[in-house]
Parts: sequence; C-alpha cells; structure tokens
Amino acid sequence: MSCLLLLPVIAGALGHPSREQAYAGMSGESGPLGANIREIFHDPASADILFLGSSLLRAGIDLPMTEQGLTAHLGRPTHVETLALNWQGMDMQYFLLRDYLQTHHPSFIIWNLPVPGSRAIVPHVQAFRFMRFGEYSEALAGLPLQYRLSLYGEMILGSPRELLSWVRPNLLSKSESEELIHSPAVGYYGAKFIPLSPAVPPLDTGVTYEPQPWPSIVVTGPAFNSYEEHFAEEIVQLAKQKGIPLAFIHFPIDGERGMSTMPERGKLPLLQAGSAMIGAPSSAAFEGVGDADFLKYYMDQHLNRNGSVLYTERVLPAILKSYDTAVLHEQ
Amino acid sequence: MDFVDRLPLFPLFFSFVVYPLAAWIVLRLLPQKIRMQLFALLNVGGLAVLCLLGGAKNIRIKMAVPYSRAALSFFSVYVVLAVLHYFVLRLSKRDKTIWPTVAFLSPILFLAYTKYAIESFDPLNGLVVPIGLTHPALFFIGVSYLSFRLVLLVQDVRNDVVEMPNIWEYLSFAFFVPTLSVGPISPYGRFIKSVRTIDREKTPIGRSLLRILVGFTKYIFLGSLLAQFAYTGLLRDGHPHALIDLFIAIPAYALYLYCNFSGFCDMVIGISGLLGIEIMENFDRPFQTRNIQEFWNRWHISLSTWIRDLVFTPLTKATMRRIPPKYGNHAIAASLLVAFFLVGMWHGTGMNFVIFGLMQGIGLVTLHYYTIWLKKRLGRQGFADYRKNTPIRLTATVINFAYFSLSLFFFANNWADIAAIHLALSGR
Repeated sequence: MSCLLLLPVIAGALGHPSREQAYAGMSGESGPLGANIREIFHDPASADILFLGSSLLRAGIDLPMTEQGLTAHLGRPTHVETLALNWQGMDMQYFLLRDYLQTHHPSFIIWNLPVPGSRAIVPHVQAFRFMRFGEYSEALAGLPLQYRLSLYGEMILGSPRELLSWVRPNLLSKSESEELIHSPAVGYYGAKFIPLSPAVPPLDTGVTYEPQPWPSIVVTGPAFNSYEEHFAEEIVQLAKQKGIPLAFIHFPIDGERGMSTMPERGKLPLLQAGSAMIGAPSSAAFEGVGDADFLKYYMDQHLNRNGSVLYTERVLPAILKSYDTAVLHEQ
Repeated sequence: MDFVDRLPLFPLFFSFVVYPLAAWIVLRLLPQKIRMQLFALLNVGGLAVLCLLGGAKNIRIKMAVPYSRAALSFFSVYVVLAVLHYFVLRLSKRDKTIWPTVAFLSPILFLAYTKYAIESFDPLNGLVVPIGLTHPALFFIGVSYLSFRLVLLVQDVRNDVVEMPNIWEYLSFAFFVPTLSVGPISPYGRFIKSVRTIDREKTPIGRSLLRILVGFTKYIFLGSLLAQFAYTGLLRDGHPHALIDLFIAIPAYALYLYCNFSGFCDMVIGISGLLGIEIMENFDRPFQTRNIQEFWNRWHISLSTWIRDLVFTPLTKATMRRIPPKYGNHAIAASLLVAFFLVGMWHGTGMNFVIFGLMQGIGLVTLHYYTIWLKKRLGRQGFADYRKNTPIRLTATVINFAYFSLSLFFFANNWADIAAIHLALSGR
C-alpha cells in the first residue's frame, strides 16, 4: 500500500515521459487534444495571437476569420492559435501555456476567464493526467495544503497510466493529429442546426474594446477560490515574465441574453493585469437578431458556429485594436 | 468543490454515515415497542433519499422539480408494490392455492418488467422523458437484489425456515439501506435474528471497523487505480490503442470489478456489523480458485447460492425425474446453462450480458464433462493426485482467471462500447 501511495514519487524518480505523452493520455472528451498537442509540440511557429481559455473560447472564436483579419491588418502572414480544452480550469490553462512557452514566444495572449455561471471544478477533471510529481513544482508551491494534498492524490491516480506510457506510447489518431479547432455546427441542446449568415456590421470598438476600468464589466457570481486565484495569478506572472502582453476576452453565454453588461467572475485586481477587456454585452453582440433566432447562435452555454462567426465578426476590430495597443504600441 | 460536484458523494455519505448513525439510535437506544416501526420508516426514508440522489448528478437545475416529482413517484410505486407483496405473502401462508406461486413469482416478474418492458409502458415512461432520462428503472434502486431477497424470503417462509415477519420487519428487511443497491442477497433469518439481539461474536466491533476500512481502501483507492487500466479508463478513452492495451484491460477490469464490488460489500458488511446486523459474506478470495465452479462458490456468493438453491437444484431434480438416469450428466449440464443464462440476464439487459452468462455456463459445462472424463481416465487415486498437484493447480488458477476476465469483456461493454474498442484497436 505504501508503494502505491509513493507511486508519483517513484514515477518522478524514474523520469516522466514527455509532456506530450501526458496530454495524449487525457480522455478524448477533453476536447481537441490533437490540435493543442500539435500547436505546443510540433508546430514551431509562434502565434501572433494566442487565445487561451476554456471551451467557451474555443467555441466562440472563429480562428480563420481572426487570422485573415490580422493578416490584412498587418499586411503580412500571421498565425493565430488557441490553447483551450473542455471543462473549467485555470490550472489546465496554466500548464498548457507553460508548455507552449517552453518553445514559443507569442506576441499577444488573449485570455477568457471563467464566467459567473461556471462551477469551480478544482482541480481540473483531467488533472491526474497532466500534473505529475516534481514537474513545475514551484507553480504548485504556493497552494494551500489541502489543494496540494488533493493534487498529490491526483498524481497517485495518474501514475499507473503514466508508468504504462513507458511500456508503450499513448497514441493519437491521424484525424486527431490533424484536427482543426472550430466551433461545432450544433443546434441548441440537440436541436437541428440551422446555418445563418446574417450581414451584421462589426460593432463600434467603443463597445467591444474596453481599457480599464471596464465600465461594462460587472464582477459577479461566486468569487474565485484560492486554487483558482493561485493559477490565475500564475498565468499573469508567467506572461509578465516572458514579456508577453495580455488582454481578456468575454464570450456571452446564453443566459446573458438581453444583458447590457458583461458579467465576469474575475476580480478587478486580476483584470487589471490585462491591457483590455475585449467583448460585447449580449444585447449589443446580438443587436438586430430577433428573439426567435437568438438561440440559433448557441449550442448550450457555448456559441455554435453561427454564434462564433457573428461574434468574431463583431469583435474583430477590437481584437485588432487591442493587438495594436498591446504589441505594436509597446514596440 | 461546490454542491453539484459533491452530489455523487451524497449517496455514499448518506448510506455510510448518516444512515448508520440514525439506525444505531433507532435499533439500540429507542424502546423496543417502537423500534421496528421506526427502523422500517428509516429504511423506507433512506430509499426515498437514494431515489432522489440516484440520478440527480446529470439533471440540470431547472429540471430539479420535475426530476424530484418523478423520483418520488417511482419511490411511491416501489414501496406500494413491496407492501402489496407483503400482503400476498401473508395470504400465501393461509391460502395455498395460487398465492404461494404469486408471492414467489411477482418479484421476479417485476424485475423482468423493470429491465425489459418499462420503456414501452407510457404512464411511467412519460415521467422521465421530459427530464432527459430514457429509462425509469434507475429509480428502482437495487431492484435486482430486492426481488431476489424477497423471493428468498418467500421460500423461507413457505418452508417454515423463518416465521412470517410483520410489516415493519418486512419493510426493514426489504429496504435495508446498506444492502439496497448491491447486496449481498442475505437471508431474512440471519437479518432478523441479529436485529432483535446483537451477538458480538458474530459481529465484533473491531472487525466491523476493519472491514469498513479495508472495503473503503479497495473501493475508493485500489478500484480507482485499477480503473485507469480498464476499459473506460484505457481502451474507451477516445484514442487509438495498441493491441497490448487489450491484454492489459482484460485482467485489469477483473481486478477493478473485484475491488469495486467486494470493497463495497466489505463496507456494507462492516456498517451492518457495527449495527449488530449480520450479513452474509459475498466474496472469498475468488481469484485463488482453480476452476469456474470453485470460482462461483467464492464470487458473489449470495447470488450463486440463490441460483443454486432456487434454480439449478430444483431444475436438475425436476429434469432427472423425467429422464433416464443415463442422461443425468446431460441434465446437470443443461441446468447449468439455464442457470447461468439467467445469471447473465439478471446482471443487465442486452445480449452482451447474455453472452457473459452463457460463458459462465459453458465454462461450467466444460468443467463438468472434463471432470467426468478425467475421473474415468485417472481413476479415484489418480484424480486425487491430480487435484493435489501444485503446478497443475497454479496453471488452472491462471487459466480460470483469464477465462473469467475474458467473459467480463461482455459484462463491461455493450455493443457500442465493443465497436468503439474495435475502432481504437484498429488505430482509428
């Protein structure tokens, strides 16, 4: 029994398999693992804009549109990437970002925080896969003891599969390795997806780009617990250390219908770490969209393909302005 | 973790902390004249709590009210049917025409109905579809165990092994919370004797506490570790897998199931033991057995005992009475196949469970004929020597474990799962 309790230590002493293997061992339900692994470990190009966040971001941002817009704006080829998996967890986001920054230097990070409707799942549902004993331990050192014990328990749980990785590698299929990140063409809670392509003009950047003190932001919902705060701070510090400017982005969920503010869980001191909040309140983002059509832009809390195209189109000027302010201005 | 994340733990917390404390107070501290009534109400109340919590995790908040309504409706149906069965049981003692048969068969028919027919019965199904569930059977917590427990009770009452319980004793036994969801299918006689009087030689406190600790370790810790190598944790993780992973998952699942099931039973036996209630053992080192017959005498003992006493033995006797003696061995073989076909069906709906059951039956039939052949070939002394031979015993033990583990492939995976595993092993 004591051997089992010491499994993480034993695995650490033997030497962990690569970080890539850690992610490849995660459940397929975690999201586009292949795309994230490709971006972190195989694509040598650093992103001009790196989007970081949860599935809300992954569903909400149209990457090709953003990349085209940035390319046209800068007059040169650009590269836009997303690091985002399913389930809430800034611990997951921190580890993804840290691994990415080992070999990349993005120009700009745009990060979406957990929304007030989200539940604090701590540690991340798949923490037992990507957290291994002895790795990035200084990032875990500041956590309260209860969380460190909890994480050690996760590491025990993940150790058998990790040790198995030494016997044979975790595999990804060809389709997983080649997958692209895009918002699903799925209707609201299983309804039939009806593609829409309304001609909606972009919103005024006065609406969608907010430097401090973010008049449209309402801090609400359950406050971050100490675990979440810890990793949020670690992400901020990591970006600062690497000299990479940071901005936040808001994606309105279905429950924000008609709201003229952007509810966020993140406290103002955290938000002040970012240069701007990009996004539009739901009432502005869906201006001109009738009540009958509103839910056709969502698959649940997440924007679907209709919503992703609409929202990205509306906030793209703000993304570009934010890039200019944070990256070009600083240069 | 917030409330919703803690929800899956509530049934465990309720069954192993809240309920035992309440049961201890009721059984050991309250006056005798109200003890059984309150104990029965506690167990029925416990059933209500478990019905409410059973499917709550996957229900959206706005569905909480219709979900609760559905859960409590099914709970009410469950209890009413159990009470009706009680009165049929009472009737069967006085009127021995059809009532003993009705009392015996009605729990089995209800079990068959919940497993196979309920989806097509609109009044009940209509309650669950609006809340996003597909099958109301999940609200009939432990119906497989309850039905077998009640059939055993009917048999024991009919044969005067036990006296007719009163309604409070009956409800306490039927819905005894610790054994509600996964058994063991413990007999009424043992239960009621220990409810009435504690015999600490049979249920020592220290050993009961140790059983809880051992069970908890197996169920939560070892089971969770082994699950990482079993089908859900490994082969069905959504990625391709090399063939070696199949050979890892097959034995890993067997070990996981043992830790999960026997660990839970250890906790049940331990908790019941703390209350002074004796529950029969359900596992006795099953992976140290040399053949499938010995295995089923030590794996899920309460079920195999039930099947032996209520299906296999009566069926074999009835068949033997009707056929020439020279076909006696074939009668035994046929009874084995029927008995374990039923075991498969009892475990779940779907052809995969039938295959699981039939594999047990085929294994037993093969052993049956192999033993007959071996005895003829080796003679009595030779057979005894064969049985004592250590290398043969070890080899047989390994083969037995491998065979049972392989049969669990069908227990653990429905057709969609098998297709997903096939896809994963094909590298796609």
